[in-house]
Amino acid sequence: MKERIGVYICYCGGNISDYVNVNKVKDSVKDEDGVVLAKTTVFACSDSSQKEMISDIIENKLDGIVVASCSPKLHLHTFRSVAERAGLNPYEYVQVNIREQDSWAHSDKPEEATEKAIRLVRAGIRRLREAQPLLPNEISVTDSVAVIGGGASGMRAAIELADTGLEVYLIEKEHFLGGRIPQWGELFETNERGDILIEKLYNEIIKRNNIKIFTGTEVESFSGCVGNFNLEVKIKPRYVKSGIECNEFEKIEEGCPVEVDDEFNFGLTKRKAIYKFYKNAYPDLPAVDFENCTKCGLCEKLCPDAFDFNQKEEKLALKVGAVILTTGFSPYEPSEGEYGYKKNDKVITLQQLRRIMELSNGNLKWKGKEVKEIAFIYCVGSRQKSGENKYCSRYCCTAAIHTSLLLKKKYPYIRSYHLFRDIRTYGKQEILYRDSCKQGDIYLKFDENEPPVVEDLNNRAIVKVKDLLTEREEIEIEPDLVVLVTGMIPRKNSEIERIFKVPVGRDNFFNEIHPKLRPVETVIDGVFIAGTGQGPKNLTESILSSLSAAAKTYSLLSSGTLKLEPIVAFVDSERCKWCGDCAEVCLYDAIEKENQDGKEIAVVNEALCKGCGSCVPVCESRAIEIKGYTNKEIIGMIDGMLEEVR
Amino acid sequence: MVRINSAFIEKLRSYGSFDINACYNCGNCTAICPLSTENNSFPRRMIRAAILGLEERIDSSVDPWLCYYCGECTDTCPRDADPGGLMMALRRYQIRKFSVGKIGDFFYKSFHSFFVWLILTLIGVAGIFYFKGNPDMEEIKPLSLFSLDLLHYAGIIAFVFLLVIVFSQLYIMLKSTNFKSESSNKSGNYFKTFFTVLFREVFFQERFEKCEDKSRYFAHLLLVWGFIGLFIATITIMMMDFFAPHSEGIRIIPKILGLISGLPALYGTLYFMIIRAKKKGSYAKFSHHTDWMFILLVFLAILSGFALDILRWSSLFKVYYFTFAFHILVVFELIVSFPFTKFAHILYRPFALFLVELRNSRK
Repeated sequence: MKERIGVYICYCGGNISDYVNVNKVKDSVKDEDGVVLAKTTVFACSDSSQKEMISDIIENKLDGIVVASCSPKLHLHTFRSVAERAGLNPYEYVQVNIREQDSWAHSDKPEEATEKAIRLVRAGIRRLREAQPLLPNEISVTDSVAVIGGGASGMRAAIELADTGLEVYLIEKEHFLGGRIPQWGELFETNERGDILIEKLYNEIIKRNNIKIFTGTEVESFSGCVGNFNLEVKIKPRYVKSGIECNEFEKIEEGCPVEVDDEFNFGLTKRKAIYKFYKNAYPDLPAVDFENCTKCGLCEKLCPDAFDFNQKEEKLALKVGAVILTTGFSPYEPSEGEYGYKKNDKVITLQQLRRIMELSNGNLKWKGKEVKEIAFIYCVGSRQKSGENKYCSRYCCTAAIHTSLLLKKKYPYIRSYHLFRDIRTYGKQEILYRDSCKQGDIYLKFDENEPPVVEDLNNRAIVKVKDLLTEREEIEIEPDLVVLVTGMIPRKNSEIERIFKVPVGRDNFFNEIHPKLRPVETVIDGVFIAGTGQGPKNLTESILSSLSAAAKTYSLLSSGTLKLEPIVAFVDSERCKWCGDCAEVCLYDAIEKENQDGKEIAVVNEALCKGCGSCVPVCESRAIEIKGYTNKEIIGMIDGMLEEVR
Repeated sequence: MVRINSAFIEKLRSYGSFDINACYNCGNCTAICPLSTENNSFPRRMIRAAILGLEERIDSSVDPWLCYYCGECTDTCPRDADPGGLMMALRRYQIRKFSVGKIGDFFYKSFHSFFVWLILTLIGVAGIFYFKGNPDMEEIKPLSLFSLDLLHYAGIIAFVFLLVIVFSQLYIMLKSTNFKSESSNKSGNYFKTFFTVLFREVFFQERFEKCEDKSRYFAHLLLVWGFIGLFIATITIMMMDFFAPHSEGIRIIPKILGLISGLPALYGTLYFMIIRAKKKGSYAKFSHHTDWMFILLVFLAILSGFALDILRWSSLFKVYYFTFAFHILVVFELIVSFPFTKFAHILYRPFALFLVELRNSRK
């Protein structure tokens, strides 16, 4: 029990003292049990005040301090450090909030505010009386990391992490790396091709032998705690052996009798049961779609050594110190009939148009007809008025404008109409918008309440829009192609969400802890997010976030050990009779049953515990408590709060 | 319901230099324009109509004539779309569009028409000498080159021709603007508006004065006054020749008026020629061939007029008669072709302002 406590009541300039009689507060707590020193101070956080506190602690041999000032969110660490510099344990300090929770809230009732301040400070003193010094938990970590999702973000993060010396597992669900970037052809600003960028990244990856690529691999389970996670993965067989020379793959693909929708081309074309997403997809080895395979035997006939149909699904356990989720996005799929989608065959999405451009030779044709005029309808599936997707997808304005620039370059006769709500070509992308205007693209602005209408008229698409820039005049266009500029939604990965327990926001993308200050961390320590799985981004922004996740991962694992917050649950083994209630309410799976000298009791995994306190009230035998918030401390606080003010 | 006509902007391109497709609808042009008001806001509307190719909107608008091309909009445009250039182009477009029998096409199609005109003039001069090649060589007698009857009939024919053309063209403009007269408009109102516009806008160029570059306004005002003076002087002398051929003494008055008016007109003309040649300011950065055609014609008419006054005191009789024939023809051409050239702005601009005033007075 603390017997030599110092109490400081802060004026906060006048923020507190204008409403709370700070001297009265000081006088009424100075004789509390254990208090040897009580002072007021104009700014407790000022440098001189901090120095004064340190000398007070040393001179008066104080064993703890209470500072009644602002919210702990602002200065908890300031005064913890004061305690530490004066030789105390940082947890031998209690902050009492008499500003946000008192003077500001009750500026109309100064007397009552003063009384409340006295009660709050008294509660703080009682809590400190029972406080124990706490030390951070130190654990050793595994120096490996799993990157889930082998798109551009994941590949880039893997390279960076490998260069720090960590072991990297790059896990991709599909049989080929690259994600969505190779689907788009030339990318905006640099006009580099997506597949070429992926090829560059792949060549860097294979240069590093501390990156292990797992394609056709999905995560099955995830357990453990920061620094020491256990990951179980399931590897689908490819049925094609690597390292075997076979020059007949093209012939085999041609001869394969199976035809299924090619997901890489958004169902615009068919692919065979033996396939590669695209010609230079990596790893440079086709895969067999066994589900759709008719087992005709053609492939084995032509290249007997290259195939092994006895390959089985494999399960693998990986131990990693951290995980980066780069699971990416899917294009928003318009509902049937949305702007005539799937009803009028002249209506396609921007993503489909990009594939058509990639696949077409000579003139741009759609359904056998030459395309001369294109109407782009913006914000489809983004900034929805009614509908889930309230957000702006960030990349689509520029992507559509860049597409129209590419079209004009390749097919100078094509004319583009842009039906937009606002043009958001931020930063350097603005130049593309200017270029598009200059090449004669026509921009029509619609109100979200009066979106354009696509009418089907004998296999023609008539687009009608009330143009805000022309005094809401109804303008009619008859394009050969209506392109819906669809936004981003997260990849359908509810399994990943479930397995990693990473929270998602209202937009269904992964949620970071703090969008500004902690943009790639999740509430699960050691699980980072990057790329478009976290929210709409263009490639530049995705890579930025993936590199920042890589840096955060390295700073977490680099020292080999981790210091964890000491405010965690602990179990009194005498009292515990293992009922399992605490384990059931634990959100972090931090409590497990253990046999101790023949007695079953609950044991807390301190690396997993967040100190949330959910377990404390459910324990009937009062066997589980939180360090820094023990029952004694809490009851002391309540007593201090309730005692009458004389 | 309107259809976009993207080919229209291409058609418009032959009328001037602008990059109006670059426009991103910020509205700075309209905000900065010293002449744009809440009731008559431009040039933004015209830009949009031009981009979308809404031909009817352009034909029906008097907005182009409310602009004096001070160039503020063009200088302010963040996209260098040159809205002022577009407004100028639209004026050229409307002059050609409203011209009776597509006579405007002759002048607007290409610069060649200028040479055609020049050659025709010289042929005309030669023709005069051929048919009436015995002017008085003892004493300068201008009328010995032309018969009074020729002038008389040519004048009457030209007058009737112009009267028909001017009213037809004003009618065409009125029709395309869909201007509807209302019963609430008494004829007194029309007169009042007409005279207001005449005094304020024609004689004093009040709107032009709002443009920031005052030297342009000043030069134009001098040119207008000079022109009015020259016009009155010429008409008076012709009348005197016709009605009182022997009133030598009083003739000095219109002659002096002519001289006094010639100087400001010459200054104005030279001013515009110089800024156009130097491409000074956004207004003069681009000159359409019709701009030069008009300005050169005016210059030649004034210059030959001055030359006559000097030659009158010399003994270069042949030169005098030749210059005289040239002067008369240039003036004649200038007047006869005026409804189809840049000169037509003296017709459309006041008329447009008149319509706008009428419309505003109703509100």
